[in-house]
Amino acid sequence: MKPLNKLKQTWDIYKEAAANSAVDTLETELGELENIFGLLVLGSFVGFPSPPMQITLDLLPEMEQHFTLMLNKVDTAQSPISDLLSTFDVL
Amino acid sequence: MNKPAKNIFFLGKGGVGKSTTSAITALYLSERGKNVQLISMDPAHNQSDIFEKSFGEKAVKLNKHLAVKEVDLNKWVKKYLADIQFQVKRSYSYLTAFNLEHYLDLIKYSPGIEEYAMLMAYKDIRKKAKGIDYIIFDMPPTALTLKFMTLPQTSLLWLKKLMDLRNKIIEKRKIISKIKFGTKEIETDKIRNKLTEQIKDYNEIELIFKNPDQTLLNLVMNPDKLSFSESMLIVEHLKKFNITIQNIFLNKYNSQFGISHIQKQFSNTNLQLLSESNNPLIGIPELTNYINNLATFIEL
Repeated sequence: MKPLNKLKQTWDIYKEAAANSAVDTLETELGELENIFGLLVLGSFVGFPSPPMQITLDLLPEMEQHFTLMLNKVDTAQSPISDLLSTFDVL
Repeated sequence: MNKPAKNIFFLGKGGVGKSTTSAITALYLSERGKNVQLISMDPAHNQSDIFEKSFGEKAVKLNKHLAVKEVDLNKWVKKYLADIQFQVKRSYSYLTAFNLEHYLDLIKYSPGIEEYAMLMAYKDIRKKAKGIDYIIFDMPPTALTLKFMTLPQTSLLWLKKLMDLRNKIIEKRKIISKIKFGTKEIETDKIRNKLTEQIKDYNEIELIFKNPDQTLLNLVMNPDKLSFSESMLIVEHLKKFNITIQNIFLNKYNSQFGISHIQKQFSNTNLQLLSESNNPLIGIPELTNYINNLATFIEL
């Protein structure tokens, strides 16, 4: 293999690794933004201040994922340490 | 094209005579050839007693130009929740939809749902008001009316913030798709579409509420201290939302009562005096007789 090709191959691998890491960070950020959105709209289900009722109700049919996620979060809220450990895949 | 109907809202403290004043105004305009719909928005309806006729959701004609309707807020709440339930069942998994059903049953008792039911009824009435010159709304007492009048603006505050957040989410998704697949995926985000629809809807309602050519706000009060103080509160509260009262109807007025302080406090509003009647204002003949004895009537 020519040295130039080898260099290009190394560069591609490096680029892909960097892209993957960037996407990971962005996806985590995206997940958090979605959580905040869910909490803002569906807050009344878990005792948070919420927008006028009709805003929540109008969006409700499109928010099944947010809804289930929020209810799951309420479940794990009882054991925050285990939730944290599983997020970081420690145990 | 037909000119859109003009809204005339009658608001004020409980018991000041909003229903009677609305009925007088509706009759006055209809007798001058204007097509009028008189709508009772107050859950404790009075128009049936005033006109000695039973009314309901379907408009009942009283003369060639006047029809009366009493809004059934419970019906609107039920219809709305049934629609949401239907959509949830269609888009959710069976089990989640099943669990939510109990919650939706409870929502009809939630704070905030009544004023939204009023807004739905209002939208429906305006949509169907073809060939109508004036829609006269006999409103419930202060608290509920203020919530109704300011609902579009408070909803818009929330909706705009939610829209900003949604746009950030969509932008992030596009960046991820660009890095992963090399193209910016064109998103059809259903939540964003719903937010856009709601913002458009509330903006339209707000524009009509704030346009004096399309909406007139008439404050009804009595010549007494309590109704005067509450009227001041109403004016101040609505001012914060840039909603202006155009006319004041001083009901049960008698000549011993000095009106100078009212004129001073409400200097930018027109004042209509409605003298105390000797007979109860019940039935069309009595109301017509009262109208015929009025020296002047405010231009609406």
